[in-house]
Amino acid sequence: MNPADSLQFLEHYGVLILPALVVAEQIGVPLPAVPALLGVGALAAHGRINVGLVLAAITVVALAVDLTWYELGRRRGAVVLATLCRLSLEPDSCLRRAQRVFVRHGARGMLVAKFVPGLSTVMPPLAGVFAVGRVRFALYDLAGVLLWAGTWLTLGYVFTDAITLITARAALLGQTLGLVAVVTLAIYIMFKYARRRLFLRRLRIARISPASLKQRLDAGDDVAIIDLRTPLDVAATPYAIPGSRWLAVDAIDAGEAGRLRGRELVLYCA
Amino acid sequence: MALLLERQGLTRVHPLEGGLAAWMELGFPVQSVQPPVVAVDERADRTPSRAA
Repeated sequence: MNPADSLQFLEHYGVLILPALVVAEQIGVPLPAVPALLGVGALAAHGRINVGLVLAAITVVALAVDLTWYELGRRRGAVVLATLCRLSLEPDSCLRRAQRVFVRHGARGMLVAKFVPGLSTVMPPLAGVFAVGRVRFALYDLAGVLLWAGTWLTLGYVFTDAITLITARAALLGQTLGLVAVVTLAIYIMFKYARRRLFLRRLRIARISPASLKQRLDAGDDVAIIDLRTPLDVAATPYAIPGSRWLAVDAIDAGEAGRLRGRELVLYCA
Repeated sequence: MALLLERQGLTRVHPLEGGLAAWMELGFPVQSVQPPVVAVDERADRTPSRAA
């Protein structure tokens, strides 16, 4: 389908397509909800779609999905988060990033979470795990959804001429453009996947067993042990390997790296 | 995380198999640490401090 057809398709089925795209995004499938929102905003500027109805449909569906994730997080705990992060393109940073936002901003993080890919999926179960009140969660989530969808719809509305022009130009390129977009996305995902596999392979080779570490410590070897758990993990298990140092991800700057360079490091998580 | 360290030029890096959980399961010694204050609602960005 070329972009011009996409606008027409949105005009007829926007009220169904948008909520479906939002749900896809919330369960971790990277589908383009933002361009669709911009398209709906652009259509609304010409009175071709009922933007209020689309916004209401998005809000109802997004709240329902987020509340489900929230309840799952509340009842099943961290297992839900681990499963969600496995689906992410960046499983290692997914949870850490969400936890950082949560620790720093609490439930208020929900206001901006929808703007950050990956974060919007993890925040609701995280709020459940940390037992944010249901009403409080629902209110922040509602505000977050309205802010997110409202921003993109408004931008589409304001820049309707530019969006119509872009879709018209893109329509001239037709399927070629679609093919280029799909191939680029596929290459990007493959690259991320391959890089991660290679890196994990190297790490697997380098890893050390608890027994070997204990042996080396008993022998008095010079090993720097770094505790990489998040503050939330430390709160959950307030113990550490003797002599280890807790380091926040943000704390590892050039100076800190300089102090550790040349030493043998053992890293541990929860 | 380990990737970040490697980018900083720290190459002799060994992840601990099974993390702290595996260490504790084997009954190896641990020390108590003071957990950071994690306020779910408002603010909490404190570095955990080690107990003596």
